[in-house]
Amino acid sequence: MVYYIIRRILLAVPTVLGVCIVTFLLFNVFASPEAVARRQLGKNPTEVQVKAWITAHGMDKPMFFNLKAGKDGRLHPFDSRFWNQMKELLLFQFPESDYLHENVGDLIKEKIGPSLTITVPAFLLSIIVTLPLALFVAYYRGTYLDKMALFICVILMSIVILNYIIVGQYLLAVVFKYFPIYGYEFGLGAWKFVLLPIILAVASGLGGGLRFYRTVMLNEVRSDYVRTAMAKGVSEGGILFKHVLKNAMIPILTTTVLSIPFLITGSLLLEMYFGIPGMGNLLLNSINNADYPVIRTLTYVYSLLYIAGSILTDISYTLVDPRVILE
Amino acid sequence: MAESHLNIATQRIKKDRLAVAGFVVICLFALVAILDVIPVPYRDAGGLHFNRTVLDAIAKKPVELSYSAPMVRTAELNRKEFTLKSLHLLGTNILGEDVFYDALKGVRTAFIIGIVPLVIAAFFAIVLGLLAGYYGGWVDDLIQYVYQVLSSIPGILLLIAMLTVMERGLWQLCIALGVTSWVGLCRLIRGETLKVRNMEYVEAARALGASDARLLFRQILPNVMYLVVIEMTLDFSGLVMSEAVLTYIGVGVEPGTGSWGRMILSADRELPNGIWWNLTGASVLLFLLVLAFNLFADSLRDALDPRLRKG
Amino acid sequence: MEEVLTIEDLRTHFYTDEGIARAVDGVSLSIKKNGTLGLVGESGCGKSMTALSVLRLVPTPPGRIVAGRILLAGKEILTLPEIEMRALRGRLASMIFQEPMTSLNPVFTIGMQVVEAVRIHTDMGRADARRIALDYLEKVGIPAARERMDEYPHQLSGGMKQRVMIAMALCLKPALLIADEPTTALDVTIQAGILRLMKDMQEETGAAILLITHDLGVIAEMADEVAVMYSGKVVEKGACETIFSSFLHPYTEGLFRSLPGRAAKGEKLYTIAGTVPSALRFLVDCCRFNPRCPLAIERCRIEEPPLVDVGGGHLCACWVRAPLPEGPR
Repeated sequence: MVYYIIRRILLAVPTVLGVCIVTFLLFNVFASPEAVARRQLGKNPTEVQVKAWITAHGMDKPMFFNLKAGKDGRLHPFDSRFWNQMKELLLFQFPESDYLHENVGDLIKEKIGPSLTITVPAFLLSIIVTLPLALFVAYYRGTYLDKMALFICVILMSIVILNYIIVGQYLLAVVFKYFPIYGYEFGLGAWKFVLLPIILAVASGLGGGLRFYRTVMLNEVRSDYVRTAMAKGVSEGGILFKHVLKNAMIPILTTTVLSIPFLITGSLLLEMYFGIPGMGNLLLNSINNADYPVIRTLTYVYSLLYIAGSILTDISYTLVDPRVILE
Repeated sequence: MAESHLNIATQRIKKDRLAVAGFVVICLFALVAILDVIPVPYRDAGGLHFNRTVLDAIAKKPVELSYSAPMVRTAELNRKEFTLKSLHLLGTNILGEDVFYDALKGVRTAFIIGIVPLVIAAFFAIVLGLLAGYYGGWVDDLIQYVYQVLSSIPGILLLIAMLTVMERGLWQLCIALGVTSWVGLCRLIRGETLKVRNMEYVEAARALGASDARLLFRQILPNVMYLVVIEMTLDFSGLVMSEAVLTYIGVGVEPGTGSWGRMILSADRELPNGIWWNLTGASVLLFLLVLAFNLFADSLRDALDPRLRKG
Repeated sequence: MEEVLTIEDLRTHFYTDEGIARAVDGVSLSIKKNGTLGLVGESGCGKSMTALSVLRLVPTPPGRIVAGRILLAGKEILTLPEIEMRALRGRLASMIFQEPMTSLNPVFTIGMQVVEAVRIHTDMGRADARRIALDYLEKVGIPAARERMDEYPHQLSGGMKQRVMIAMALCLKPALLIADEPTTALDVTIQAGILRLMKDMQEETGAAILLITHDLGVIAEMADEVAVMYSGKVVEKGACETIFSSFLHPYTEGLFRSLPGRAAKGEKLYTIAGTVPSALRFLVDCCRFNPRCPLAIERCRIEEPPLVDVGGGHLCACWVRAPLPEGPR
């Protein structure tokens, strides 16, 4: 098992490098240092200020290879934008944010907490809600109840998440005042601010999730081994909760484990709307402020998480499916 | 071969009344979109203009000063009669423009966003998927590497990066969406190609001397197309919804193009003041179109499912 | 000897969008204790549905048992509430299926699955149930059963899996074992072993066997009695030797004649003309076989032949080969 993990990590290295290269190209090739400097310096900076900013941020260095001798008279071919940025990312020496003037690593540490206070409860709650509902619907499969449930799922899925958030916030926070509209509190007081976002997150995913779980369950119910179990005299409940559930966990697990990276990056819209100072909010603000160091660091971090997520998914397969042997 | 599948699929879908209803709704929306594409030129002091469409001719209402509630009559003095044309069904927005008209203008955008990116994505996905699945070896490894890297980068970031480079605009948005969403379909096509390439009819064709290209296009591609069709219809609603979200975030279409996202965005300022019609108009139309597509696409997918093909 | 299974005029119909499929349309059978009845016919004739009807496992949204009586060890099955029926399944009558590869749950060990069968129907604790499971796994010939009990189905071969199915089906000593094409999906070399096992276990547990197959060779080896089905009905029935040596019904004749061994070298293989009709389009008010029958006469097209006893318990439904006896009704 350990060998497998090591091998997967090694195999992931080229992908991570690829991500870094693509990110570099995206954010460096297309934006001139001038434009970036001017954006960050606000109103009417002088030429001197612009140049100083560019030098301070290392944007005056050549793109890929530095063939000019440095101040000490020696050649540093790898003192270029590309290699400097690679160093930052790959050695986890994160840069400083252009706009917020804090180290991105510190920013991430600050913001990851609030994101998790929404995404983790939402994740767990949606499983707790959806799984039993799916089993219930699977029990009544073929009946009118099942068809109604499916139709309701499609309807719920057809509502844009924006509507859930806007209407939800307006009705429940502004009109009925059950929840605070906006804001966040660190520490234990956070719960009142995250409750509504969590509820909305679960509600908006309910339609799609229930439909997916139901499909998985019904697929299993049609299998031969269920027919054998029925011939043995296993009750309907036993079939669903024992036989079908364990088999259904295999595809369900793939999708849930794969979404773990999303937990950390937070929900952009929810954070924006409810003023939660999380990773999603950080990303959005950085985009609006053209804060490239933050954007490229977050992209890198996210990619690492995604790759870690897919390795975790493969490992979790072995835990539920005895047929899978890790090579 | 493909015709009989189409017939079988059509028959199966006809039995699902919800799907048929969905199809009818889609056609209605499509009609609106088409009406918004056919130009009705008009001449004024500045010369001949082509930016008016049939939809404009039918549905454009007079502009008021600012907000007005639904079902009010226009304030224009020479329209005192109670005609449908003088009624602002859903009120007007901050600029006095009729909300229902605005919402209708968003239909064309929705269809473009729903279809064009998919066509682009399908192109990449089919070509790369077929090549990867058929040739295997280093071609496969390379293509897999490319899409592994691409899928590890969060889609939203790729989109934003691309859109920062290109200007804002409907077509730029389509290209960006297309280029960032071909990976999933490519994986499916590659998988299916792997399965199909070892089937007997392909072996038989190869034994008869067919060239690779001929095999790919005549034998393998038709058997893989159903995946493309299913995926395209399923993704349509997702894309339409993401236009709304992207416009909301600030990277959507340029002002001047109909956009449900922009209408929903204005709810931010309007709802606290009790103005709900912009949000409602856009949301209802968006919901109906997406629901119709979801119902139809589900039925289409069941109908094209190869496991049920023996019917 | 009392009968373990009695089926009287069973009708199981399927209500689909395309019409009613009369899969089982008036079947009557009986099996005595320790006896083996072979139910033979081509795919689509209704034999599997007959078997599923006995255990009331017919998929019920489209399907339904619409008429008839089934008596299992004297008990009326069709009127029982589902809870009681469930208590019988696996205990009074059990079933093994054609596809051993997919018929066992892939995420539970084979030991657990046999134990489950035991514990559903008895109050035994896990340890006792395991002992019984182990006992039967050894009886069916799983080598190193104690260790292999904790293995998963995918670690066993097809033949082994089928043996596990047999253990699971017989560990509670049911009165009836229904075997639906138990060897069809297995290699020819394995088939004989499974059939022999079934015979041995039958001797040991005293179960009656309803054996469903399309393979006449399997019938020859295993069955005391044979019933031939066509289009949802039994067309010929009798003792095995009788049917094999003096079959009467043209369909049965066709089945025997199409066996490759019967054709002389260089001779064209015999096939029954036409194709098996789908259950949606079974003919009514006539002999169902008549479109394909070389002996069909006018009466065959307008009236359905009843099963006639031609002597010694040999029944046949054919106007030509088994006409009604002359004389007053």
